[in-house]
Amino acid sequence: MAEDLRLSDHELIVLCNDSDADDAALAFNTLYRRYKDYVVRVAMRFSHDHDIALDVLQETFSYLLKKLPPLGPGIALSAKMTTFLYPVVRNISITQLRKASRFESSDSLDPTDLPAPPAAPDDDLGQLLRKLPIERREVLLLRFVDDLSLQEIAEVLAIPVGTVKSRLHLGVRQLRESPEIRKIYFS
Amino acid sequence: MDPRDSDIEDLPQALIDDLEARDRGMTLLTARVDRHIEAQAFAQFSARRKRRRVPRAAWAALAASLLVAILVLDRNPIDDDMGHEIYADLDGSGRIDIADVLHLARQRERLSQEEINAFAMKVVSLSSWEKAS
Repeated sequence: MAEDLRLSDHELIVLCNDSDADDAALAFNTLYRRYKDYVVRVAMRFSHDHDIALDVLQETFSYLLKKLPPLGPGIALSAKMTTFLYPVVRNISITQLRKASRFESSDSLDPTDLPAPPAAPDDDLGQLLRKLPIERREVLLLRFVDDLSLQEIAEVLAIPVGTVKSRLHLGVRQLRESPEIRKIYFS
Repeated sequence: MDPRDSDIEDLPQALIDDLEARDRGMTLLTARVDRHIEAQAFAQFSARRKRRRVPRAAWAALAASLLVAILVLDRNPIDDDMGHEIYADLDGSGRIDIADVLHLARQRERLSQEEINAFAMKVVSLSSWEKAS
């Protein structure tokens, strides 16, 4: 496997956009290795299915390749790479789930139709996460696991900041109100 | 400011750690996808390499065309307005052309670079003049 380039994400994107074939391929593969686990994790949040998550991984980076010359105009990275990737992974995950016929066919898939995390193996936290509506679970994970700001969450989900705050508030309250979670984490 | 904000940033660190651990535990073996993406990237960026080769091919074609034009158009001896013997059909091909310049270049021990350059310029300018006319 080729050695990874020790460059920032922005520098790697510039190489992917503008450099010659060998440097562009090396830069792209470096980005792939840097973010493939993140893409798989986000895909698993939606699908909870290994095969679908791998399909999402492949589709996500194929999509990015098509954005780069000579097929596309290039990528303008104006934020963190995770902020750029999240909506792509989210949309592809929903599309893949629809293809897998796990939902009723519809043009606009409501995130609340997405499945809960798998039933087993599980613990108190897992059980509570399963009970959370997907939109609250999604915002909680973006805030506390991915460490995105409220503004960044609003941007990646294309919703108002006020809606982000509301979903976070409801998600945190649901966690706090669980007797098991309260006993373990809030005592 | 929304009073509910005070709740938002207030999860215990242990709970955040467990949320992270559950999320980061979802790693998969991606060897199949790794190979696919690497091959796809190689194929796409190779197309970029081919695209950048086109100008070089165009330059080669232009140079070849120029050489053919010189060989075809220049069938008459060049007048030796300097009285110098170098403007002649040196290779015995029946015409004075770029091949004669090359012939001269091989005899550099008795000719200066300026003389060879002058001959080359005369061959080229004559060809251009004949092509125009």
